[in-house]
Amino acid sequence: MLGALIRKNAYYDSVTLMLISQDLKEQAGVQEVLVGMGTELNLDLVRNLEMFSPELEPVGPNDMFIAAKFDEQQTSFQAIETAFDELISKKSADSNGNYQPPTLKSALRQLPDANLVQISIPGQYASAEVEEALNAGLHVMLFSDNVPIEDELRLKKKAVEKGLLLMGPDCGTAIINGVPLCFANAVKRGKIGVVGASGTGTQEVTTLIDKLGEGLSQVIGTGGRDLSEAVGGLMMLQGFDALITDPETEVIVLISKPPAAAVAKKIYDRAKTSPKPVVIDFIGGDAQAIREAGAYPCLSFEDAAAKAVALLRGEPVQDQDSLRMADSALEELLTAELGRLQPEQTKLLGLYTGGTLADEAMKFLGQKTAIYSNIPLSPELALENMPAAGGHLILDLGEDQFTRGRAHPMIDPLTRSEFFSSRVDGQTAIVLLDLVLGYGSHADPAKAVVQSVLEARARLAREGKDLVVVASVTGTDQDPQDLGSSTRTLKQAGIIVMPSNAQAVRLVSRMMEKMHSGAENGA
Amino acid sequence: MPPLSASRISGDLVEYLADSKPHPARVHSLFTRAFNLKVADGCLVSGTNSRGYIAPMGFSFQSLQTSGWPFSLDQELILHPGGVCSASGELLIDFSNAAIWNPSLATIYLPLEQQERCLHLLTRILAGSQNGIFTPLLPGIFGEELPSDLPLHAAFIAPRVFSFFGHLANSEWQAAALDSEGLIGFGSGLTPSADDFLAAILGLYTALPLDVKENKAGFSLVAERILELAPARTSLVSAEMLRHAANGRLPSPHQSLLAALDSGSVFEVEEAARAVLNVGVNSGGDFLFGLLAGLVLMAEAKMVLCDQIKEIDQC
Repeated sequence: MLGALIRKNAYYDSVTLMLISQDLKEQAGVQEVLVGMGTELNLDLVRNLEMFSPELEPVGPNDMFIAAKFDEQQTSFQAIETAFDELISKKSADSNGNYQPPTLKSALRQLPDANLVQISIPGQYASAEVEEALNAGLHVMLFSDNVPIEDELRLKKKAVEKGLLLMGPDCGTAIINGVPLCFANAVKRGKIGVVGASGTGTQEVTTLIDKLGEGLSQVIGTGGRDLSEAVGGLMMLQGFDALITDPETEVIVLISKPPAAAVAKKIYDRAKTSPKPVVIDFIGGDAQAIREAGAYPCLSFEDAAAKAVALLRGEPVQDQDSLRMADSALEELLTAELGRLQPEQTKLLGLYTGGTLADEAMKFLGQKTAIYSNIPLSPELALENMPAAGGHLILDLGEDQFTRGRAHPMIDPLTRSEFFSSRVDGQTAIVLLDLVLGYGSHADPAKAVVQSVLEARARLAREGKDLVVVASVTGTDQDPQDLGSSTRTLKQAGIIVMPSNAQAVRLVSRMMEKMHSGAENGA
Repeated sequence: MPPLSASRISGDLVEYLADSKPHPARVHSLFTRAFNLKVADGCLVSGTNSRGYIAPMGFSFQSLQTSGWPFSLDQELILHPGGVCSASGELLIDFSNAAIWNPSLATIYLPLEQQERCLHLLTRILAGSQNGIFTPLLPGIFGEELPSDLPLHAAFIAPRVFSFFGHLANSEWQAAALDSEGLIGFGSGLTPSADDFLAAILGLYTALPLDVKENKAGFSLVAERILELAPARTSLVSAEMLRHAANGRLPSPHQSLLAALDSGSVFEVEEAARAVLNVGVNSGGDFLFGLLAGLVLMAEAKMVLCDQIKEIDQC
């Protein structure tokens, strides 16, 4: 049986029409429904489906029509029309085409099944929003920083009581059920779960896991202060528990700068009872304590990724503690690169956008030589203590002191460009840097770096000097900026690109050793 | 109730109202986040508070309301440079603080390698989306076989789309103009899918530079035919969209996408394409499909811009 109706000069947005069309098709006895504007071609389709009825004769292109084919034993066109009218009044009231709700409450009315909210507002207002979200039973990703630590503790306790995650404050990276939040990379889904208190460290580990051919189940951020004595690692533990119970997760990786001793103990105690293998990278944490907890300590983010993958595949777990380059190739590279430097060029300059990557570099290089920094390993190595004659320097350009009034250097490459201009001088031998790709990062950071390197080299060339630049790229081929394309751009400019920050640092370490021994021999 | 304050107003609407005469209008259609006013000469003026969106002959405002507009369907209104008034003179929408947005497309210069990158990226984005009645036809524009289980609307329109596409590819302009007759107004929604597809092709061709002028002359036959037929064969809202596109004017997300193609930034293209996909249920996807079809035609016709021509054009 056929039926049709026309609504003269009636206009509904396409979201409404699609939802109604779908709902009508689900009504008992309805075999096919076409809803649309009464254009000639739409009527052609109606005819083609043998659904044209005389009621449609007067329809015009500015009229909306409904044509239905139905089983009259089960329904009537009158019932379809009534259903349409009911649906249209309902949908018009709560249409969610691309609605941007002004409050959390109105957002929840639009998406009643949502279970996570991302909050990114000035820190002084964030606590109230987080509280409302937790009260509504929502997990929270809190990108905002400058949230008082008392609020963080109170809200995290509430989250724990309710069995929810409160990722943050100052949480920059998470991937929940395959959905990247804030700064995250396009990684494969898989069976390795990560809880991270450091954003770029987490990005480095997750992208390296992707490069090794495995994927991530969940990536849970905690915010940088979570493992402090004051907060007590509440979210690290909550995230750890979540991954233990997550059926998709088979191996767990925990990432943080070294926690407060009491917090570390809680985490080790939890690791002892974990039914799943646990890899812990506390960037210089107590390896023996980690081993005693039955977990796997790490030498670097690269090592953490490799160990997680080995555990997942049931392969032997080995330390990744060397530079992966054949001796002959390394010697050739060192000779060629360092041979272009002048004797007075002896200094290392690290220009990092990722704070944890800078930290990793300093932990390794700092074992052999003094590295000054704005995030020093010890107070005497603070930037302001660097001798006038210069020294090796690694900077975290994402620290507040460099980003006031401008975006983070992962978003705005200008900060690093300025440091290239001001810090690369006639003593600089090696520049070590990172490129962090992924959602939220700058569209083409490689291009900006190349520009800075070319300018610095041109400047040094006037003094008959050159520069060695070593980089690592944190990213994947699926990232919007494309790892392969970014790497090619850097290499074409004569920049040495290593497969991880750890490898880049190890190469620089060998370069510095060779420069040092060359200087001694020369002396 | 204080008047709504427009934050942006399109340059063509400013020009239209510049004679300072009152322009009688009628409320033509109301939606949850937008409305259309029909002015006396038949043009539509659209207002929206959909974030980031503004259309040619339109204005946007930041009020978050989704209903309860200060007028009702068919109500008589007056437009003037300062805003929209009721027949009794009460100011309902205030234009005095609005920034002017230029709806015209800039000329786009797409080197061949950039065309290929854009094609690859847009294809990936569209293929991964659920948006667009035409999207299942994607393999066809690359000469590949179509799936045998095409949805109803796609199966019906496929022969017409590919006839039109084939004639454009062979510069058979008359035949393509005839084909357009079989496309205008097809599909559900206020701007039927085929019209979104045609708007993309119209916009892209309009934005192309000098070296394709020969093709442009031929294509103008197609554009004229579409504009001639549209008022009788599709909704007024859609006919207006086609008219604007043929004159090089597109709504803001679509305009941004064309600009992003020219920027060479994969990131910008991806972001802009996803913004277009957010327009409507199928509208964005069908527009993207049209843009992809246009890019394939460009690549096949080797419509590569040399620097010399770029310089001439910029002069």
